Amino acid sequence: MRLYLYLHYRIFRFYKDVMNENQVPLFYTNTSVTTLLWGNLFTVDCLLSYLDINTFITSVPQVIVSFLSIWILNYLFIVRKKIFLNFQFKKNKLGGYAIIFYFILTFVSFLIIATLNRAKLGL
Amino acid sequence: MNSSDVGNFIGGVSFIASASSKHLENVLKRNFRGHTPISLIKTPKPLSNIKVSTNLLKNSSKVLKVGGNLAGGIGLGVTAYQYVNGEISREEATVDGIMGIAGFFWPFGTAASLLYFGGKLIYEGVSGETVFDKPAGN
Repeated sequence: MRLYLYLHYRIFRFYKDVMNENQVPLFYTNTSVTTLLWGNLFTVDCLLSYLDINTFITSVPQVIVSFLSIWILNYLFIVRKKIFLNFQFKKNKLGGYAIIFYFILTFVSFLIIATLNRAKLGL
Repeated sequence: MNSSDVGNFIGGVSFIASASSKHLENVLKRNFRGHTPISLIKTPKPLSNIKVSTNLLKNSSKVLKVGGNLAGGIGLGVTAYQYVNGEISREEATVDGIMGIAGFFWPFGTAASLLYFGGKLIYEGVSGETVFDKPAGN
């Protein structure tokens, strides 16, 4: 949970400090985290589909509904209350590397599973 | 409406929302950076300029900015879904993905993303052809 909140913190600081976003940094943070989290869930869904176990996201409307659900829940329970700002997190190199590693892991795992799924479809 | 149309529609929403938000920000900048209660929106002649509450402009700008950003995130999700299900080619998924991620980096990334998705939407809408070749069966 602390890692999840730290992810919020680092993305929030990125938008505030690097991008100078002062108007809606919380919403930008929420969308960025939701995109990553949704990507992870979709990767798991694709893996389940590849293994012929089950699949939950089978159409574009389901993509939109699942994305919006995560966005709303994350906003209501974490971002709106600014919980991640109460943990006295610090920006340090180790944390930065951990976040970059998570970004790469999210992207690479999706790419591998997506490629397997496409190969299964004969593409 | 197939998934490609939905993807283009979401791209269009993101495009219009972000561009409108940017326009409203510029209007606010021109009106003493939003420090006056009423702002003036200049319109081309012979139309008269429009007076609007500055608070309304500020809130609209925020809502549009968030809406554009959210639509960008959903657009990335739709691109991922289309790629996994073989509805779009690897090239299209790569370019859509890069431009989708660029959209999160205001202002230059967003501008590049807007140009790409806006251009793609208009081109595909007007010509009826797709910018990228579709995989066989789509």
